[in-house]
Amino acid sequence: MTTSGTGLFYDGLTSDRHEVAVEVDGDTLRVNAPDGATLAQWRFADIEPLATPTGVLRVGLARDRAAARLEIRDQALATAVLARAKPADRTGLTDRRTRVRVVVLSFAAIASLVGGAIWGVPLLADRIAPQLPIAMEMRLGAAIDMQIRQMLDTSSAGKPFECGNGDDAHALAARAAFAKLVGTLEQSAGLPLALRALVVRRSEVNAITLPGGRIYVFEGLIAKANSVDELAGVLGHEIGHVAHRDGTKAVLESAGLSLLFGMLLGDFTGGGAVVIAARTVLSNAYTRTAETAADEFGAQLMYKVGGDPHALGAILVRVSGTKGVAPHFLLDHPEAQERADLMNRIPQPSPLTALLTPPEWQAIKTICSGG
Amino acid sequence: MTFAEHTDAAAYEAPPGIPAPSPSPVRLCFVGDRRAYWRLMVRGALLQAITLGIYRFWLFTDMRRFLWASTEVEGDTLEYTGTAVELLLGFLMAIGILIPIYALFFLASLEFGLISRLSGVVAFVVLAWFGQYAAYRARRYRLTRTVFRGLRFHQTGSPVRYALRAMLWWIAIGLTLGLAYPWMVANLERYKMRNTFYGDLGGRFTGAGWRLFARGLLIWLLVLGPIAAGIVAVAQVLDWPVIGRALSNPSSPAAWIAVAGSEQNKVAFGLLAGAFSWAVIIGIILYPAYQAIVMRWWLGGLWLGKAAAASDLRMRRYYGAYLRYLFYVLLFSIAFAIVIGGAIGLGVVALRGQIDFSVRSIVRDGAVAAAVIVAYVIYILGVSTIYQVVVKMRLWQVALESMQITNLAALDHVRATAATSSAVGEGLADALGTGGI
Repeated sequence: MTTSGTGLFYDGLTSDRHEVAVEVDGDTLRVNAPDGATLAQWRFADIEPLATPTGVLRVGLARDRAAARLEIRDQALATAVLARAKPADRTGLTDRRTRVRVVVLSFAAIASLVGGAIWGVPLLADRIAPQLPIAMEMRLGAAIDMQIRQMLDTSSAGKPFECGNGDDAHALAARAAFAKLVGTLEQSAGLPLALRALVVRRSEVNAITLPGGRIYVFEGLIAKANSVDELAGVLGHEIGHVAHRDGTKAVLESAGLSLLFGMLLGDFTGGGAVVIAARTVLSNAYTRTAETAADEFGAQLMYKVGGDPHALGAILVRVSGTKGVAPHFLLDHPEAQERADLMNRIPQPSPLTALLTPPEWQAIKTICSGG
Repeated sequence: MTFAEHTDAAAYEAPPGIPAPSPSPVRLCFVGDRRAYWRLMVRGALLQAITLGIYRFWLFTDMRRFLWASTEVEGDTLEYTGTAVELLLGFLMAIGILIPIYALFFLASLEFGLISRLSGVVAFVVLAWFGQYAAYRARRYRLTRTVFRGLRFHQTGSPVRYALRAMLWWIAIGLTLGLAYPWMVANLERYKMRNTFYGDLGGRFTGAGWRLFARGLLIWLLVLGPIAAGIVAVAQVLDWPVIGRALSNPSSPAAWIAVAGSEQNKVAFGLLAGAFSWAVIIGIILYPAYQAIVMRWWLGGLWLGKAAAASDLRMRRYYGAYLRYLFYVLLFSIAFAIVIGGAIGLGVVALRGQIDFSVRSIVRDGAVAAAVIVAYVIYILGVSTIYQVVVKMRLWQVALESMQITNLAALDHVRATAATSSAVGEGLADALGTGGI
C-alpha cells in the first residue's frame, strides 16, 4: 500500500527549503522533487521522529551527521509515517522505557557506590595508608596541627597553649614525668615514627591524635584522671591511632567520600542534605571501627607494660556520665560501656607495675597550674 | 551527489503553512506548551531525587530539546540533537580529568613554605580558568547539537585562549569595582560570535561596551555607590586615635574594647553596615532590571552573516516573571507546611501511647532523620522547579519574543560544514558548576 503527500525537505547540505512529494512504500520512505527526481530514500528502520512542536512531524535519519530533515504537515501522511517508524515522544520527552532503564541503572549505580563507600573506601584506606611514606604523614600532621592550634588555642588567657613549658623546677619535673610515661608506652608500642605528646590548656575531658604522631592530652582529662593507669590507658589508645595511622586513613577516607558523595552522587538542587547525611553516617562508621581498634591496641599495650588494661574503660564510663541520647549511627565513638566491656576481656597482669611514682603522678596532675 | 544541483528552492512557491520570506523584520515566536514543560520539570525533579542526581543528564537533554523545539524562526523550529548518554560520558571523563588535579593540589598543600601557602590561590585560579575553558567547550557542544533547517551550528576558536582572556577580564573587573564589566561582556561575546557559524555562515557581535555601560551605570551607582560613599564617610567618622592605640598594642583586649566602645566608631560601623545592607537589598531589587538591560543589549548586537537581531525587551516582563515566582513559592510553601503539619499531627494521633518517647530508639531516630531529609529535598527541589519554569523558561520566552531579525533571507542558502564535538566540556562545566542551559 502506498500513501503519499507533500512535505518540506532539507537535504542537510544547504539550508534551502525543498517542497517535495513524499511516498510511503512498504518499508521505505521516498522523497521526490516535483520534477520526479528522488532526493532521498530512507528505510523506516533507520528513521527517527524528532522533537517538534505539535502539528508538524519532523523525521531524520538516526545518527546522520549531515542532519537531513523531512517535515510533514499533512496529518494522514504523518500518521502513516508514524505507524511505521520507531515510536518516540514528539514533544521531546525521554520515552518511558528509557526513563525506567535510567532509574534502574541509577539504582544499581547508587547501590554499588554506597557499597563502595561502606566497604571499599575503608579497605582502600587501610591498604594505602601504611604504604605512604612517613615524611608525607609528618607534613600532613604539620598542616593539620596549624589549623587545630588555631581552633583550640582560644581560652588560655595569656598563658601558653602548652602546659609545663616553663623553666622552673616544677615544670621540669612535670615534663619529665609525662615524658617518662609516654616513653614507657612508646617503647613497647614499636611505632614507625617518634611520638610528640603534649598536655594543652583545654578544659574538655579529651585527648586527640594528629597524623605524624602528635598527641594532645587536654588539661580537663588530666584533672579527671584518678590514677596513672587511667591517663596511661588514654595515651595507649591514642598511640593505637598513631600505630594504625588513623589520621592518614581519615584523610583518605574523607577524599573517597567526597568523590562518591558530592561528585558522583548528590549533585542536584537540595542534594546537599543527602550528601551531608550520607557522609556523617559513613564517616561515623569509619571512626567507630578505628576507635574500637585503638581501644584494643591500647589495652594490649597496657598489658605489655604491666599497667591496668581496664583503666581506660573505667575513666570512659565515669566521664561519659548518663547514657548518651544520640542514636548509634550519629555517634563517632562507640558507647563508653560497650568499649569498657570489650577492654575488660583482656586480663589484668599480676602483679600490676606502677608506671610512675606518686610524686611523678602528682607533678603531672599539676602540670598546667604553672606557667 | 549534491541535491542542490538539480533543485532550486526559489523555483517553488512557498508551501502552505510557511510564510513567504519577507524583507521586513521577522519576529521570533515561542511555541512551547507551558503545561508540557511543567510536567517535564516535575517528573525530572522527582527522578533526580530518587536517582540522587544521576537523572540530571536526561532532564537537561529533555529541557533543551523542549526549549530548542519551542523556538520558531519564520515557521522553522530549532532542534536539539544532543543525547543524555553523551552528557553522562562527558561528565565521567571530566571527573577523570579533575581527580588527578584535586589530588595534586592536595599534595601541594602538604608541602611546607611558599608552595603550601600558594596552593590555595593557585587552585582557585586554575579551577576558575578550567571553569571558563569548560564553559567555552560546552557552548561548542550545544552549538554543534543545534540543527536549523537541516544544518548544524558550530564553533571554532580556542577554549584555552578564551579562558585566558576571560580570566584577565575578571582581574580588570576586580580592579575597577565592576565598572569594566560591560567591556568584558562585549569583548568575550565578540570572541564567541566571531567563532560561531551556522553552516558556513559566520556570526559576529557588534554590541558596544560603552552602550551597556551607559545603560547600566545607574544600577551600578545605586548598588555600589553607597558602599563607596559609606567607606569615605566611615573614614571621616572613625575614632582614629583609639584605633591607633589598639593597632600599636594588638594583644591588649582593653584597647579593642575601647575601639568597640567609642561612640564615633559605633556610628561608623553602623554606617558601613547600612551601606552594605542597602547594596544587598537594592541589588536584589534591581537584579531583574540588570538582567533585562544586558539581555536586550546582547540580543541587539547579534549577527549571522547579513542577518541582524534587534530586541524591544521590556523590563517589566522580567519583573513579572520574578513576582509570579515569589507568589508561587509562597503558595507552595503554604501547601508544603499544611501537608507536613498534617502528617505530623496524624502521626502523633496514630502513634499516641504506642511509642515511649523517653526511651531512645535507633529505628525511630533514624526514621525521623530520614523524614526530615526527604522533606527538605522535596521542598528545595519544588522551589527550584518553580524557578526553572516560572523564571528560567519565562525569561527565555520573553527574550525570544522580543527578538526581531532583519534580512533573515541571509540564512536561506547556507552550506553545511560542521562536524560534531565531544561533551567533555559539558561534563567539566557540570562538575565545576559553571554549566547552563
